[in-house]
Amino acid sequence: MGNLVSLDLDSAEAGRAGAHPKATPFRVFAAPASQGSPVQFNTIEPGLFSIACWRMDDARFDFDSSFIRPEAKKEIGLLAAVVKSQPGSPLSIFGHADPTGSDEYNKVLSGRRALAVYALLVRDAGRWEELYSQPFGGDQWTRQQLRLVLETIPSSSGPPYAASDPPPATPMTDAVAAFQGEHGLAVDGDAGPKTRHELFLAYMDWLCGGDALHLEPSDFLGGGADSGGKGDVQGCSEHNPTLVFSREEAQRFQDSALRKQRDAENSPNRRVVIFFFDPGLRVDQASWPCPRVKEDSTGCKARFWSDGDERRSPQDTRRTYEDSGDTFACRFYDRLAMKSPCEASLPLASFDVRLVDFDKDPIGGAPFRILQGAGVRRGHADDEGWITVQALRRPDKLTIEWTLPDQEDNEQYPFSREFFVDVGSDDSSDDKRLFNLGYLNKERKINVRAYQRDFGHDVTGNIEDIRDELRAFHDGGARPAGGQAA
Amino acid sequence: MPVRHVVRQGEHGSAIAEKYGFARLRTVWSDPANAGLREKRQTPDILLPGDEVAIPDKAARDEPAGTGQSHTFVLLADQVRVRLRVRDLAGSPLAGHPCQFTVEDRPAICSTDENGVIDSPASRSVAKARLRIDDSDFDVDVGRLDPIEEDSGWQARLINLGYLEKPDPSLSAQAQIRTRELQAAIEEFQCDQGLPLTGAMDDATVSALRDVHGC
Repeated sequence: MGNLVSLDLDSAEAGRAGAHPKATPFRVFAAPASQGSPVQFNTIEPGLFSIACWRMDDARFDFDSSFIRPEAKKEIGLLAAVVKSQPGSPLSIFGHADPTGSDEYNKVLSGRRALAVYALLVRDAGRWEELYSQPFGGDQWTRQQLRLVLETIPSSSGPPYAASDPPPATPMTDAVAAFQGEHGLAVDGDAGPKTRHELFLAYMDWLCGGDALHLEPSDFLGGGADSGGKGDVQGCSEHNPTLVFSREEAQRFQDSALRKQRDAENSPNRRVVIFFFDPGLRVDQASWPCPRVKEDSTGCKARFWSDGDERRSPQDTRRTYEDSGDTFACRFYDRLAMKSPCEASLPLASFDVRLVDFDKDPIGGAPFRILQGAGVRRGHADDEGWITVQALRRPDKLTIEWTLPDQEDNEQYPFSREFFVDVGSDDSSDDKRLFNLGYLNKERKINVRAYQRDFGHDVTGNIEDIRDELRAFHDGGARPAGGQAA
Repeated sequence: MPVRHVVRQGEHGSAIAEKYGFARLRTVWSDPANAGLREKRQTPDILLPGDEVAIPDKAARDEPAGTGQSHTFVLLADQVRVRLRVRDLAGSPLAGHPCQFTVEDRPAICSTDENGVIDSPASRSVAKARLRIDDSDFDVDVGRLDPIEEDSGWQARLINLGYLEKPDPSLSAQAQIRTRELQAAIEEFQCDQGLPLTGAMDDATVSALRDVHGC
C-alpha cells in the first residue's frame, strides 16, 4: 500500500543479490544415556547452508561467450554490497548453461563463465588470458572484445582510449599504443600477451570499482587451496535450468529456423550465481562434491536427485524453478538454492508502517532509512506517510530512521524508532501498539493516560476505554481525531 | 495405586524416575505395567510426549537397626551421562579438540577424544547443556530427542547431522518448501551412506541414521 522497500533483496536489470532467510542459532536435541542405555552419543555436524547470494544474467556476457560486458558493472556493484554486508563469509561461484548442446560441452562453457567471474574478483589476468588464447566452441575472445575494453576504460586524460561513436573510430593500433604508452609497455600498437595482461587488469579494476571489490583466493569456500578451484568455482553445465520448455515447445524448437527464438527464450538458464556461507566455513577437496571446472560431469551426476534427469527434461507443461521448484537435476545445488532469492522466488512477508509526527499526523514523503546488518535501505514514505516493507521473514522488531521531507540532503535522520512488527494477540499486544505510537513508559496506566490526554479523552488510565480506538488507529491507520500503524 | 505419568516435551525416563522418588530408573522401566511402552520405545532415554509411563507403588524395605545408635544409609541412585560426538563439515571427528562443556550451569574445560566424543556426568533431571568448541556454540536440549520412528525424531537427527535446517515458522515460504527440504535431506543422507535414493525414511535409512547419529 505504501512505497515499497525490500529488506533482503536488491535487483539490477540483469541480476540480483540478497540475503537468505537465516536459520535460527544452532540447537541440538539430544538423548541422555542412563545406565546400560543403547544411546551411544548424539552426533553433531555443521551443515552447508548458504546465507546470501548474487546472480548475474546472460545479458552481461557476450553471446555464447565468457567475456563479461561493461554493463556488468551494475551487477558487480551489487556483489560488492553483498561482500561488504557479509564480512568473513566465504563464497563459491556456480556457472550455468542452457540445455542446447551436450552436457559435456555445457559443462566446459558454464565453467568458463564461472572462471571468468572468479578471475575478475581476484584480479587473475592470467586466467582471462587462458580464456582468450584457448577458445572453446562459440566462446571466443577476439580483438572485438579487446576493442570493447579500450572503448570502456578511461585513459589518464579522461575519455576511453578508443572511440567509435561518433565516427571516425579511433584506429585500433592508435588506441593500443595510447594504452601501452600510459602503462610503461613497449609501444607497438599490437595487443600482445603483455599488453593484454595490463588491459585485462585495468578492465577488471574498472568493472569492480577498484578496491570496492577485490577478493583473495582465501576468501572463497575452498580457500584457494586447489589450483583447479575445487570448492571455489564450478560449472554446473545444463543441469540446473530455471526454465524448462514443455515437450511441445522443445519439439518445435528443434526446427533450426527457430534457433534464435529458442536461444532467446533460454536466456534465463544462462547465468552465474554466487552463494555465501557462514563466516569461517571451509570445505576440503575430498568432501566437496562438485567436480573442477576442467573435469567432466560424472561427479555432478553422483549428486543428482533420484529423478534428476526427469526434473530437467521437458514435461507436459513449461516449468520454472520459481514456480514449481522442481527443475534442477543436481540435488546438492538445489539444496543451496531452495531458499535463495537469486534462484527461487519466495513469497515475501510484507507489512505497512506509517510515519507520524509528534501530533500523530502522518509525514507524507518522509525520507527514511533502515539499517539491517551492514546493509542500508533508503526510501521515501508515500504521500500519506506509508511505507510497505517486504522481507523473506517477518522480523520481530525493526528500527526505522527518518527525517522531514525538506531536510533530505544532509543524510541525517534525527528520528529513530524501534517498533514491533507483529504486536501479536496476547495480553501485551495493546502495550506494543502504544509503544509503536510513541508511548514508551513501562507502566501501562501512564501510557494510557498520555494517550487519553493527547486525544482529548477522559483521563482514566484504563486500557478498556481506548482499546477499540487504539486498535483501529494502529492497525488500520484511522486517526481518532490522530497515527502510526504497523 | 500405580500412577500413570504422561510424558511431556523434554522429559526422559531418568528425570521421571527421580520426580517420583525412585533411585533406579530400572525399577520403573521394568515394571510389568510398562511392558507395552518397552516394546514401543527402545529406551526410556528417548520417549515421545504423550507416552504414558506407569509409576509403580514404592516397595517398603526393612533394615534391621539397633536403637541408640546412628545409622548411615547410602542411596545408590542411577547415573546419567550426556554424550556428544562432534564432527566437521566433511564428517571427520573433531578429535582432541579443546572445548567447554557446560552441563546444568557447571562449566567444565574438556577435550574431545579420538572419536570426537565428549562425555559428561549429569544429574538425573538434566535438561540443558551447552558446548563451545572451535568458536561454535551449541545449545543442547537434553531429553528433547524424540524416537527415531517419529517424524520429529528423524528430522531432529538430520538437523543435528547438518542435512536439514530447523523449520522457520516466520519464513513465509516455509510450508511450501519444507517437503522439498526434507526430501533433499533424506536423499543427501542416503547418497552419503550409499543407500538407494528413495527420498523416504525406509527401514534401511532409519537404521543407518540411528547408527550415524548414535541413538
